[in-house]
Amino acid sequence: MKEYGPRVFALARSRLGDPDAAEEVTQSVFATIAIKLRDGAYAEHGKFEPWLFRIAMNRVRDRIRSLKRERNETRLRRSARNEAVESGEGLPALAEAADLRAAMMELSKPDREIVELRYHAGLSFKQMAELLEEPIGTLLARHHRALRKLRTKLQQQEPALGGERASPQATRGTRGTRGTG
Amino acid sequence: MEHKPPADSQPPPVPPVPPVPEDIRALAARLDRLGAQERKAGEDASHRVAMRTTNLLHAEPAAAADPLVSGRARRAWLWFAAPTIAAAAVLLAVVMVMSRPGSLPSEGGATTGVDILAAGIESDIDAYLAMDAYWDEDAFETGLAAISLDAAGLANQPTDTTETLTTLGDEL
Repeated sequence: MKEYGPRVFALARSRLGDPDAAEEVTQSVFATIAIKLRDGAYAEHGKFEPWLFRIAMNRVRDRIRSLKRERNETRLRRSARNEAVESGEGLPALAEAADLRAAMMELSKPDREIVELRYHAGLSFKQMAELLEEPIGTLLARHHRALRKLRTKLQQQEPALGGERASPQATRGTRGTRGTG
Repeated sequence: MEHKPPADSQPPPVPPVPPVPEDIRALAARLDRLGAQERKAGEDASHRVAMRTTNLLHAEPAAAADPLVSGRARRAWLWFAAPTIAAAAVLLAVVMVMSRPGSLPSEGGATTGVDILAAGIESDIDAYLAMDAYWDEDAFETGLAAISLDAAGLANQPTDTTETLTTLGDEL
């Protein structure tokens, strides 16, 4: 639980945009796994992580189907942007996260999936290849393509935010210069 | 003689994953930070999930002490119960069809598959009853008495032993 719980939660939260829903999905996943392990129904033999995340992804999909997905995503995009604008000067890290989440919502499903599995669930490319049953090379190409699309979307968002916020890297650079000067 | 290792003991070597291209490396780092942030936020939720899952396992009765036994028991039940249930269903269908007015074919008319089946079942029942009756004590004694009378009748006949045994052969 200690190792996999936060990763499943992070994946679910990224997909669902709601921490409560993410916690419910995480609960459902681990309840299923615990019962299967107790009853001896686990037969994956050494491929525990892909099995775990396959269950997690199925539960997230089921949850998305039962929620009103369009409304959820639009609300999240809008709230993420508002959060970024409102918290621009005080909380750059939070705004940066909100920007990223909003941009990820605009990616296509396969692109978003690979980004979430890699960065939220913390799966390696080898594990993703086992989970998604695709060659590593295909996943690498998809990953790079997805990140480039994400970068484009982030660049498109920045003018919309009015460029009021300085990027964290720029701020850190300035401070560093002052310190050594 | 070469010893072949089991098929799944040596996974094929995975080539090293090339580094992320430079133009997206900064974004990958941002995503790494976001992911770490999300996972950190998930630690409390994960702890609550662990507690609830533990309670769930304690509350629910285990399927069986030995999962292999429960599996075997389930398979055995299916093996014996399924044909019995199927046979009962067929019998029920036959009874229902036969109980309908006009369901029995008229003399000399064409017989349906159900009628043939019903006749077959009746014949089986008769044979069973006949077999059962064979082992009935009263029937056995009656049968034995009949054989004795026949034997006595035959004894008065001027026949030789061979002919007597041949005649009695059907009765024995």
